[in-house]
Amino acid sequence: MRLVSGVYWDKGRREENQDSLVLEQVYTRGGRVLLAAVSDGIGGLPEGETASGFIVEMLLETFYHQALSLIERGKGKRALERCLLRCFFETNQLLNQYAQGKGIRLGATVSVLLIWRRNYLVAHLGDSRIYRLSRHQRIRQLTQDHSDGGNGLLKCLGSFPYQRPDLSAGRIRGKAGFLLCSDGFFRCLDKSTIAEILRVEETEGEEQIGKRLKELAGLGIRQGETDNSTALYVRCGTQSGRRRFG
Amino acid sequence: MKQILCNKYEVQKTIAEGGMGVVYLVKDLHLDKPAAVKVSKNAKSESERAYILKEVEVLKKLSHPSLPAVIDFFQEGENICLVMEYIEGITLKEHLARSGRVQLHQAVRWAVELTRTLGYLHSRNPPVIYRDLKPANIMIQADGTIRLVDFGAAFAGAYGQEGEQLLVGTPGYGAPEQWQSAGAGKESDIYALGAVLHEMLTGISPQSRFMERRPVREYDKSIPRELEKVIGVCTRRNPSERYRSMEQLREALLNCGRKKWGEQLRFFIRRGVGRLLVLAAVLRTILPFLQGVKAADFPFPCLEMPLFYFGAAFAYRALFLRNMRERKVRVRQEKSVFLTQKKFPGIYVACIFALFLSAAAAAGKSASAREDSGKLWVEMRDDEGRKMLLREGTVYRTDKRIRFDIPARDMPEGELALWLMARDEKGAVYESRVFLIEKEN
Repeated sequence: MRLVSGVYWDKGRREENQDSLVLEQVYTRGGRVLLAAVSDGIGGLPEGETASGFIVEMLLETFYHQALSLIERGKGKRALERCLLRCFFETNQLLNQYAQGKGIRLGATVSVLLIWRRNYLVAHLGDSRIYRLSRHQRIRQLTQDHSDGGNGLLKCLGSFPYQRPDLSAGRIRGKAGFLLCSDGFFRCLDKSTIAEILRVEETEGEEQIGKRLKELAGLGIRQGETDNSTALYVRCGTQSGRRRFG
Repeated sequence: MKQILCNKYEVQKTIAEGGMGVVYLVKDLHLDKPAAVKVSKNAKSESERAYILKEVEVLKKLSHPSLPAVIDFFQEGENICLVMEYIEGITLKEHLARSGRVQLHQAVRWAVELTRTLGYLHSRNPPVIYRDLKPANIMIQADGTIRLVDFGAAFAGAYGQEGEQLLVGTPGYGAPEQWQSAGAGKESDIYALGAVLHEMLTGISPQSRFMERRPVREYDKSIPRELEKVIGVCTRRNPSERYRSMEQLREALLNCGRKKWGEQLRFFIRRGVGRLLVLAAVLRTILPFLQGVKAADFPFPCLEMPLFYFGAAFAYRALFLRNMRERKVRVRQEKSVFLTQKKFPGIYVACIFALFLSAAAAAGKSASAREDSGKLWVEMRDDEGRKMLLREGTVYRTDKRIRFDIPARDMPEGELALWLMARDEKGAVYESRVFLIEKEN
């Protein structure tokens, strides 16, 4: 499976960027594996960038030390779900300890996408989003916003009691694209605009993806968006574009 | 308007930018030909200036087809400019990023070329140690030959020169002794060459955070076993266990390039026997059924022989062919993006930072830094003796007691009066009794 990806990460008109993202693509005996995650620190609380950065760091560690070996051993999505749940639980505990030590409260949203052997797994907490794009400009939101419609978050990962993330899994057939974005990126955009600009048939290269994500973010800024804006797009192709390693 | 250096060199574009300066592509207006100018900016202190001048000293004495020629050298204001021959091509790092890895014969050819260049450097009197061999410093020209660039880290007279104690190099490529004792010798360049050859053959950068250097045949079984051994010897931790000279390494590399007919024949025979056993098992299963099998003979003794052959093939494979699979790929990092503004850079960076701290402590630098600050250093510890951070405005929760430590080394001379003052949320002040402390000499 061919995977092409690009990222957009900008602080917008804020003084600092409280969003963090991670994108790791590795080739294993079990084929290509990709981890993509976007985390958005809660603006109203201090050290949002610390919370989001810590979450993606923990995800990165879990990916290399646990998830990859599970995939290599041919384990299925149940094992990977448990692995991600463990990671979320541990991250929650560590953030609680950190916040207690400093006498503050902090937290962040998190949306994770794991792709392996044409399967995907999504774990989500908060109001960041993951969209799935398929051919003929079809777009579907894979995650449900954990917010009250305004700025209030109903679920997040941080110095709060542990909340179980939403998990969903599926299979990738043919060409498909996945967009992970923070609220600063999608708030001023509608789904049809995203689907039109990030057409699965047209996004072939990394540079092209980067330009289109920038174009989408620019649309949002023109409509008055001031928040940190982060987006990550992964396009899954049907055939390998390069010779297999080895 | 384009910038002109020394009334002679017109700046065309920036080739590279680093901590020590910038490298520009310039046009020599007198000779009308391109050149590369390394501008070392902000070399204000004498030590920085001396460091840059050292690179010039090293380069001007060298003359080798694989090294850039020095054309000119001048100072403009605070900047020191070194004009060198412009080498057209791409770096090995860029080549690896494009094509993943280098073909076996090409990798060996380039490694042999590097041994010649580094051997020339080591044969100078005093020897020149390159110290920073990595794909980013190796240029590949259009005709396929390679050249070394950036002599910023190189120094002459490695042996017996006490003054050269800077930690220079690139993590992953630099030999362990470069970081532990800041002492680099010929063996350090041999280590780096082994690391570069490993990266050329596998495409895995030693700088990847999660990738440990595994033997090359774990990634590709077509790589000769001898070459794996050569890389293993080059990258040993103990310098005395590595090759003693570049000539010795070149000889070992050239021996790897020669075809080993005997080994190939053994491989085909071993694989052939395994396949024959499987074929025999399949035929012994199918043929009796084609001729017709009596109901009384099924399953036994009809399936006795096929089962025996299948068992033999399985055992043979487990015993002799287990390590002969042509492709046994471990994990290869293809893309890695990690973006955050989190101030604490993470556990991996923290580990590296901790190593640096421990090295500084060993050199006695940390103590002197605290003495210079002119403040009394107080350490606060919790019930279990763990050191706590003294950050202003931080709330610490405790159920028993808090311990304050004043390390004796930080105590000023003479008698010291100490009392503790605490203030609660309402502003009420609590004071302890006054203690007199005197440092015992």
